[in-house]
Amino acid sequence: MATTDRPGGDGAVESKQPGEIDPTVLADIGNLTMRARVVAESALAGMHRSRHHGTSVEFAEHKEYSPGDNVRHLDWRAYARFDRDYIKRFEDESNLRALCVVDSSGSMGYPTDKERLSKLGYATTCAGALAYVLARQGDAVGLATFADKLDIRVPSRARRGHLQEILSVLEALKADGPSRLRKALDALSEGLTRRSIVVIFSDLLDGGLEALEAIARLRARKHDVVLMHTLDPDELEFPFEDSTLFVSMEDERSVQIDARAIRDAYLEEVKRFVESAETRCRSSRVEYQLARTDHPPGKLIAELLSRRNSMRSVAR
Amino acid sequence: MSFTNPLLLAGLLGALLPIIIHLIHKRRPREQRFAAIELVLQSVERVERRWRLRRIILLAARVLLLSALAIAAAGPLFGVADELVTTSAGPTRLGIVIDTSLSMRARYDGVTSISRALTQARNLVDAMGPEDQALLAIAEGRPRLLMDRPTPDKATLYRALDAVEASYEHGDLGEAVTLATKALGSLSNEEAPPEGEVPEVAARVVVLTDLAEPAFGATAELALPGTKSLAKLEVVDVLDGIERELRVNDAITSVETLNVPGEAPRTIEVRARIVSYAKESESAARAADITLRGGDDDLVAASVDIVPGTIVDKVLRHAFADPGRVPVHVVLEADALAEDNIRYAVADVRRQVRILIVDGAPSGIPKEDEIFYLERALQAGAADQPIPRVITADDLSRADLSAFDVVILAGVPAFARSDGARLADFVEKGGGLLITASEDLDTELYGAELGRVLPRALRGLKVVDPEAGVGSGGIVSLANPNLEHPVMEIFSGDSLGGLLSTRTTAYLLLQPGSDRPMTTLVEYDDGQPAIVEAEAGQGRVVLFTMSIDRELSDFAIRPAFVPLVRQVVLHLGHALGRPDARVTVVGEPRMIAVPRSAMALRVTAPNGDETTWEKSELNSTTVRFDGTRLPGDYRVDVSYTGTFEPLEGERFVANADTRESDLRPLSIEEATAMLLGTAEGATSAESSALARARALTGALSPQTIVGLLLLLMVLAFFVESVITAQRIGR
Repeated sequence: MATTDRPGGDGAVESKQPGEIDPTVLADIGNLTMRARVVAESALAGMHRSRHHGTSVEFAEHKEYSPGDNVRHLDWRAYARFDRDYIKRFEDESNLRALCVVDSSGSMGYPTDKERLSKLGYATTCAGALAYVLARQGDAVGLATFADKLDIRVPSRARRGHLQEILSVLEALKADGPSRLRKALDALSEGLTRRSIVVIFSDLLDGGLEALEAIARLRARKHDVVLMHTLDPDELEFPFEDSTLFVSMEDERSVQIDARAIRDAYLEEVKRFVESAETRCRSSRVEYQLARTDHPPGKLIAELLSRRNSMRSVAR
Repeated sequence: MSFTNPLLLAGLLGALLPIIIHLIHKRRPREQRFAAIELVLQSVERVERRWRLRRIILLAARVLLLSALAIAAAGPLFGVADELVTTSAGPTRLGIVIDTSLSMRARYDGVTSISRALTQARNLVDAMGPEDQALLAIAEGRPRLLMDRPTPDKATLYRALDAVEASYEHGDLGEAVTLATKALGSLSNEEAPPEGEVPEVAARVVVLTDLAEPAFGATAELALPGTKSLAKLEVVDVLDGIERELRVNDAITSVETLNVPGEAPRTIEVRARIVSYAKESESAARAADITLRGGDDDLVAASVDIVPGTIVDKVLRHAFADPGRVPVHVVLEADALAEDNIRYAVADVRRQVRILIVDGAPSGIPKEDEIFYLERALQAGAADQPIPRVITADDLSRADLSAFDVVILAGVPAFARSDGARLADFVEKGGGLLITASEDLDTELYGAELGRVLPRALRGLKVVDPEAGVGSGGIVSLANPNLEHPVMEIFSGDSLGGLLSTRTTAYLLLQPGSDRPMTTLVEYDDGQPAIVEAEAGQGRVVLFTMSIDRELSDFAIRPAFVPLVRQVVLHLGHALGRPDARVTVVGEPRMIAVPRSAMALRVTAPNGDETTWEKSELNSTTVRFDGTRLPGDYRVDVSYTGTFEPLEGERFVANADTRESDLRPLSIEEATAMLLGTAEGATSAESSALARARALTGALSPQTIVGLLLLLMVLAFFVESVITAQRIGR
């Protein structure tokens, strides 16, 4: 069981379920690698760990034979040399290929204050944790980021050191520029030849709903697509008061308004926006998950992995 | 609009507070970088219209609230000239001139013009400051002040206004304004400046009128006497807002009554003149009912087509049951000004004259009979008159004179002495006696028996050419006709020539030197009287000094003979029906002839008010009656013995002054110019604007205005509360 102090609180200890690390705590962890690991460990806490190795021809390592191993993979040369039974393991053989897609447009930089995780921070934490878990399981994991275009692409691999490469890219990611999710996903779809699990972290703001068509096309190519609709509580609850000058985070647009006067209308708009995204995802068999940034990311990842494992079990 | 405390209007600046607060809020919004700007923009677009309207209403409600508070505190006064109330400029003198001429009786939307004027006058008084003074003047037949000098006592002013009503007279606003201005300049002892100084007085004259042009005649004098100040003139249209098309009028401007010979007895023709005071384009032609009434009875009902801008004469005829002076009135269907749709007149219904002719020289040969020409003259065109009875002098003593109105002694040389006394009594009791000359007339007998009623004693027959005798070539003609006499007034032009060409060879001479009143109707060209008349008692005697056969004169065959004889007979029978040429307009004096030996005279007005003159006041032949305040029938009674009896001959009617019937209004500018005697009104624009404002708000008292302002504030509070509550509820 993980325990944590509430930041800025009175020191009282609050019991948490596995994976429930408060995002405000994570915000205090500046290093993404650490944050991802903490989240991943919390997500994995209580989960049964199993390793699955593939059957490709690319050698990865030896393992001493133990009863139950497939004798087809006995390395007879090693037996001749060391007089012990070793089993060959092959690197490229994984049951799962995953690709984390992270939206790094300017809107993902909300909120800008340091006390809370920004949507991008939340997304990179989740993506990093997911990569950590998958890598630990020996699954192939990759990363793609985009803003106005597909920016960085780390292919999915299950190699050692690959995780660090992913985390480094995530660590360096900055929220900037307009969002072109549709264009990025189309570009990504072209280069994604093997069936994969594609986990997309995006707020879908500024034309994101149009990108759902691209997501649907990705799903049509037999990829397993998960949309982590990342939104800040402010965007869902609109807690602003008085006259406020709202300034866009991606362009020059701004509007001065009495926030109370439009609150009802805004809540209706955002509700319609979320429901529309969810409905369209479900209609194209894309898994939709609303990722509130005040929701513990570990729990989010655990739930995702749990759903994936159960689906894989069913598939076997 | 004026204010009792105008300085408090500074509170209006408080109305700027919501605007300033609004601007401050608008200038300092909190900046918030926000990712879901697209959703915010969509939300704004969704609520923009509703939100903007609500914000404006809220702002307006707050501004209104503070404005109303400031205005209420300042004490607004509507319907008042701005400078009439107490201001820092000091007390003001106000002259309120009310048009009380006939036109102010016009009624629009059920309210008379005078009522509107009085309402506005009360508003002016309401608005007076504690140091202000005012006086009232009314413009009617004789403009007058309702108080000698300005007073600050509002109660006095209200009482005076309560007694004001519109007259039936013509009014002159210029004279009334001058009267008011002079009175405004009078200063009390306390107000009088030190000797040698000429005071300055702030004064304004407000004229409340319907702008009907007839009331604008004389130029007003606005210099305040004894000061170096001029009163400021302001003309207010009390009918502002009443459409010009409605301010038109039809009126009966005259009614004439004439006896109609040849018709049924006592037939009177009533000729009413109807004038439409409107331009053709302003209203459509209309058919109006017109009725001739006698007392409360409708005598004749008819219809008349009235074309706008034209004059039409309508003739109505009616045969009266009884002779005499009968008051009648013609009533035209009512319009805005109903008072000039009634016109009163006295119909002098001719009585039937019963004539007894005493033939002085009967003859079997008609043409040689003394009365041959006389009989025919009396019968010609006189179907409405009874046929005269003819007797001889011998039958006179058996004749009942009381059965006749006129006795004609047609060339009667002599009669029984007893008949002479009877004839004299007959005359003095009101009968008429016509005497014509003959060659053998007994002048001594006439003088002895009829001397007390004859105009002059008879001297004897004068033959123009004594040498040649009667029938010779010596003749005289007639001259110097007295055309003022009722008998003679029918002669003019050719008809007069037919009279004056009469040739006479002999005539009766009259005894000169008597002081007895006698009227000569016409003379011979040698200066001797030809026809004379005198009153005796209540009767009359007319004497022809020539004969009415062809013995001494050719008068009987002259064209003037028939009308003259008929006129004389009717005159003697008090049936001449001479229309009274005097037209009495309301407000004008009426001269009433005083009968000889009258002990008292009394005039009864249409409303029953009586004016009586006692014997000591009846020294003159006429008395002046100044009480013609109302239109209608004025009865005149005379007392000879202590009992009043009608003096029908003096009965008269007074009518409304139809100069006021033209209701078409001037513009404020024109009216002001006419009062100022300038080309254009100097204060026209101001007056016009003020008049409009006053028309809108003139009926509002200060209490009402403050009440309305408070109501406005409550409403503003309510609106503000509702909007604020809605916002907090979010």
